[in-house]
Amino acid sequence: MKDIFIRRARLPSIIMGTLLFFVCPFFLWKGSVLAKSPCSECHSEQVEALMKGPHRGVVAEGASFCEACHGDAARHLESNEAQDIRGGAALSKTPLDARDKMCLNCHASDFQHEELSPHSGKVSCWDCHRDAALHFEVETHRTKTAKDHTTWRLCTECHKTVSAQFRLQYRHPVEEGIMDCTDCHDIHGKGGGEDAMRAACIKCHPEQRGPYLFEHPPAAKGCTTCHRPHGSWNRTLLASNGNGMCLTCHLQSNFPGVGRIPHNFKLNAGARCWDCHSQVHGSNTTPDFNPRGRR
Amino acid sequence: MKKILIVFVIVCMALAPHLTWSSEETEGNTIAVGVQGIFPDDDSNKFQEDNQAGRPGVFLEELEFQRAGQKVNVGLTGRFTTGRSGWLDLKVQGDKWATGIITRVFNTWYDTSFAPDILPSGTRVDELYPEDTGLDDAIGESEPRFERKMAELFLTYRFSLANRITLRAGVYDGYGERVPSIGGFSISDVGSPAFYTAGLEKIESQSTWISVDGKFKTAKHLNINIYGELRDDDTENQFFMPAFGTASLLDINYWKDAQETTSGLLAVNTSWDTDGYSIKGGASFSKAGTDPDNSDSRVDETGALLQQGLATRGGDIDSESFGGALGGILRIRPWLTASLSFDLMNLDQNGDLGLFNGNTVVPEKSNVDTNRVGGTGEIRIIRGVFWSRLQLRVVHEQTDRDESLDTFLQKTTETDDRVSVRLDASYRATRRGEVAGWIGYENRTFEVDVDELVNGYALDEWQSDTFHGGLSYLYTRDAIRAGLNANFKATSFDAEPPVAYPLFDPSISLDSEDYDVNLLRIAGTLIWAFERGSICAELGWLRDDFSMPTPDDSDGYALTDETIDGVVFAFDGQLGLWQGAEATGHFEIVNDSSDLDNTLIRTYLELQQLIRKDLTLFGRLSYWDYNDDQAGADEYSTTAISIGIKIKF
Repeated sequence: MKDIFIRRARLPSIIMGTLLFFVCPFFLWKGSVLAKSPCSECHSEQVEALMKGPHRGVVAEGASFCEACHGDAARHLESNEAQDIRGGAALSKTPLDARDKMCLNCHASDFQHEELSPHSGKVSCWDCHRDAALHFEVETHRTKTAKDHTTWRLCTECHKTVSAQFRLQYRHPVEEGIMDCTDCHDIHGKGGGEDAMRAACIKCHPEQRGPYLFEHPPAAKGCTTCHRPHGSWNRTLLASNGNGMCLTCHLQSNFPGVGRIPHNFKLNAGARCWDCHSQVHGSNTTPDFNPRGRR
Repeated sequence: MKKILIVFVIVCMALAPHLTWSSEETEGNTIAVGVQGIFPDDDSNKFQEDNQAGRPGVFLEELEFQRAGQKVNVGLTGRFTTGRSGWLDLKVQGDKWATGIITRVFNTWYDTSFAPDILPSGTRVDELYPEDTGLDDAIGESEPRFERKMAELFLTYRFSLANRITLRAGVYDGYGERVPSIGGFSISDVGSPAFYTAGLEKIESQSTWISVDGKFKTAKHLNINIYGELRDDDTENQFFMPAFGTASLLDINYWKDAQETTSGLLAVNTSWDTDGYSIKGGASFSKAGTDPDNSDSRVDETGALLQQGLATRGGDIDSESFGGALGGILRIRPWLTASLSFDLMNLDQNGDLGLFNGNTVVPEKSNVDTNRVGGTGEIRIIRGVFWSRLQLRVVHEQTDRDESLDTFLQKTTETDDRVSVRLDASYRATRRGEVAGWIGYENRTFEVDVDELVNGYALDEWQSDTFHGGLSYLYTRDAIRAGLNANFKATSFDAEPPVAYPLFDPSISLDSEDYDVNLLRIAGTLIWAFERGSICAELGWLRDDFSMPTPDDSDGYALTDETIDGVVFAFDGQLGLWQGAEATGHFEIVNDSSDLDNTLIRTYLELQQLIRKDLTLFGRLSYWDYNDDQAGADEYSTTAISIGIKIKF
């Protein structure tokens, strides 16, 4: 398996080949939107916009998708009267939680642990996805350019201190449009707490995955104990430039004079703990995470 | 990847004029490409480190194809920088299915000369050791670039409105070098003074994974989510760690680590939702096995194996984890909701390896058994424009740890108890303004029972009290949007000293200590859109404060107390100039005014001119300036000029 798929030199070829496989018919084929929904006879703009988006399939099945929000359309289809359907004006007055239920008719299983999310009950589906995303825009969910961040722009409307952290010298490249908030965060509240956050980090940093024979408990639990993933003043996104972060757990009153090897010689000119204890994510050979000590 | 990008862009540009799609169907289809020249001054390595390996070259500013047809929709979006970082997503969607490929490339660069002129204690490095203590001086020229490539194929099939299944298969490849530490003053174990400079780590890492994610609504109120994943991670690292003496390079340590991990995860979550109540339950099981073959082996400067670290009899590390949760939500009144949930987790991790110590094989073992139970209660009130939530969580966790290697032995039982409470509230004061706030408290008690300890370093008991809270205000009026966020976290610790003696003696008790760790974040933005453009300004103040006790016997020992305190300011402006012309500007300054004392400026000015209905030219002048009082050698001033075209088709 490994030999076939993940040889470094072959990966670009796999990606290119797969892209060409998909892209070739894309250039050769021509078509037009065909909305099957009975609503499209009068509301073609809305329905055709929907057909370009992720709800294309369910829209094509008939009026049921529209009815999820606008209510039973049977009378309206017969009468063509506006009062026989829940239109845009009526929807805008509907409480947000009631509007969310319309989405949850089909998407409830996406929110199994939604109540654990800080967004629970406070942020509505419509706060981020909005009417425009459903009716008039093709939702890409990806950052388009550094100046036009789709998700980034939405999140920082409320999370302004996070936006400020992404200005710092060391940060994940979200502001550059290379990453997006949703690359790490399951905004819909999948749950899992520290374990879920660590899983998000491991996606791009599998070198620190473990398990190790000698685990460093905070690293095994969650990366954010020591790292500031949004942005940091310090290299490798560490919370601290010095040893305060380590001493938060490893404090001793007469430090650094005690221990199997006295540390007062080691540190009195300002070395960091991790200069020697470099395997802080875990080690298979040294319980003190100091591979230099074995040399 | 650069060649792929160039070929792709050429193909797109060649085909674009020949495409016959109507303007209505192709509205929004855009490709913007350009070239960038970068003119660095001073430390160009440090510039690349701060800017995703940025360098001269071709870039893909924006790629967006959206195509809706009779049978399928096709979407192709992407972006690549000159530093070869970026992404390309292709999604094809039919009525019942969707498929596509998601690709990511991340490039990072590490500064080979990264070492402070002044140690954190205030001592100048060149007064202690030779000036040339950089990585290049020890191991020669290197290019510490690390590149991560990822690709994931997905296929989703929808059985009905709420029932669908998604299959995913992905690969990851990480290859390159990184500089893992910046070194510090030290005394080597053989007694000679030494300065550990930055080291070099060569990394080869591959992963593959497949997953299945099924979402079903089997009855009117029952929802089921089933997720399964299999994953393989394979990593090999080589380390080059130089140590300088007072006059010259003393030695370089070379060693190699390697391990392969196979893991699996199965999770099932269900919910029964009605208008009046919901019952939710879930369980997950994960298993991981690691084969750390070749770990900690000695190698020479070429990477050739000199001596294995782990014995050939080897062994492995197995980890099994089970978790479950059950909860209920009761909607007592339309405005009042109460919920209660319980969760538990068990982790059992065992390892049994053999390590070479000279010519002797030393057994090393570990057994970690963790059990956690928790409960959460919540009351939520929503009345009109007022929203509030009160949440209480209690967690008890116990870990039995049994580890041994050679003369090291540690058998401990650790208990970790947490009680936290949090109150959230928001109020839409007017149609234009909303104020929200939250405050929380957590008490945490960590206790350790030491059964055996030889040459160990177990933590001892500590207790912490954490207060955290936040306040935000959003204001909207016509074309003006303003917002302010402030949040803080203040933790005070009351710690017993760790049991750190070579031989555990329960009769010895050291003094306890109190110390604090505080965080403060305040940021505000102002956005104003006017007829010919818009402006956006952001100001933030970020403070991290570690207030540790002063050690008793460590003159010159630094970096216990630490305050990192700085401000960020950013300004974006957009202005329509004349027919078809637009100017965009960005200015950003990051200034740390405390222990680090550095300043970083990023700014650019961009002009766009519409040449034809579907063709725009753009040019951008960018400038970066980094000033570092601790490491003057790392400072840089860099200018970049970019020109490009944007085609709509």
